Amino acid sequence: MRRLKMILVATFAMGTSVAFADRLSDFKEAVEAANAGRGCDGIPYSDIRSSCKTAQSDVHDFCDGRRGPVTCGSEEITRQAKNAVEQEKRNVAALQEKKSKLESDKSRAGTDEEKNKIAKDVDQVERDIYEGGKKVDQAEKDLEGRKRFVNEAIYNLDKCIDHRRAVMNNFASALDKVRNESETQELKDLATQLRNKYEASKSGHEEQITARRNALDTCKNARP
Amino acid sequence: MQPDHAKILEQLHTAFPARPIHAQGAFRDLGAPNLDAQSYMKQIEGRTWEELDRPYLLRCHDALSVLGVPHIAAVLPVYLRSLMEDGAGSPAVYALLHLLTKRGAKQKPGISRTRFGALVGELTPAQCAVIAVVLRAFAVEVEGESLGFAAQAALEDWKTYLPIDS
Repeated sequence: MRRLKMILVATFAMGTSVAFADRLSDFKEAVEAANAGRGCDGIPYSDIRSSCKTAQSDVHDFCDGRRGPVTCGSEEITRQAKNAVEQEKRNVAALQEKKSKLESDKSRAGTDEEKNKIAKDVDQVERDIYEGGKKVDQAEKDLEGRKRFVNEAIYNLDKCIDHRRAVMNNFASALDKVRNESETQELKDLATQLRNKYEASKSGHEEQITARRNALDTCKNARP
Repeated sequence: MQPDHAKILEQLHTAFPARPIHAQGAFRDLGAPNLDAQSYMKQIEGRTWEELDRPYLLRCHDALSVLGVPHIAAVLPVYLRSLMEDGAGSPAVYALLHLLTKRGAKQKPGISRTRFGALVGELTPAQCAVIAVVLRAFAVEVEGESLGFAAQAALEDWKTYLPIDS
């Protein structure tokens, strides 16, 4: 019985020491990764690291333009597209007015020769109206394309910001945990190094989010 | 590209001579959240700014928020050039304007005063001057738009470097 107890105690002690050695090794690897700028690998806790990596991968998908546009360019592009539609519509309206006037002139024309001449002019104006209509359609298509582009960019930027926040939150969780690491002096020292890294990188996270938020604001202003 | 932009690009090339970049320690101070630092370092190592893969660097503009100041100074002309050539369509426009703005009162966004001071300290007067010229040209291009206001805010922090005759 006594021997069994001894074996159990020894096994437990060994298990604890192996677990600690693993933790220490995780911390050493995390410090190395943090120094090398390997993002989420700089987190020594496997659950948080894994969640960070998932969010990180989404960050790249949505922020680097793989899923579509992440910038809307100048707001002027939208204004020009809207103006083009208005301009083409005005052109067609002016042509329709011209046609009405011609038809009224035709009804008042005194000679056949005059009537034929005006009829030819009406034909030409009708052709112009048809062409003008095509231009209106094209301008509307362009505006619709711009709208789609801007909306896509807004969607991607929203997602990009969400995933960035998720990465940032993972680092914040890791920061909370490393602050309380004090099992041994060696572990405490490694935890301090990580804490300093996380704190230093906080401004980087925030700046990246700010830059994307500014891009998002421009896109919202550029919505037709 | 507008004709005066070509002139500004010439100034940019003069102010930022092509020297090989040494990537070591590029992300040592701030880490590299949201960025493949190894890949970025590999891209810049041993190359001059003119030899860099521009689309890659512009796509990875997040680097501007975490690079060490000497390395920012080394890659900065790539981003400035894009501002002149791509204008509001530059993928890096927001990150660059943020980088070139000193955080201030009334919630003016930008980088910390310390980091901003370190950046200015890393640059030559000619480089500061060309940054001011680029910002001014861009601000004119997007005047009245939200990007124009952001460019104006950045320019406020650089306009003392504008050449007197400009």
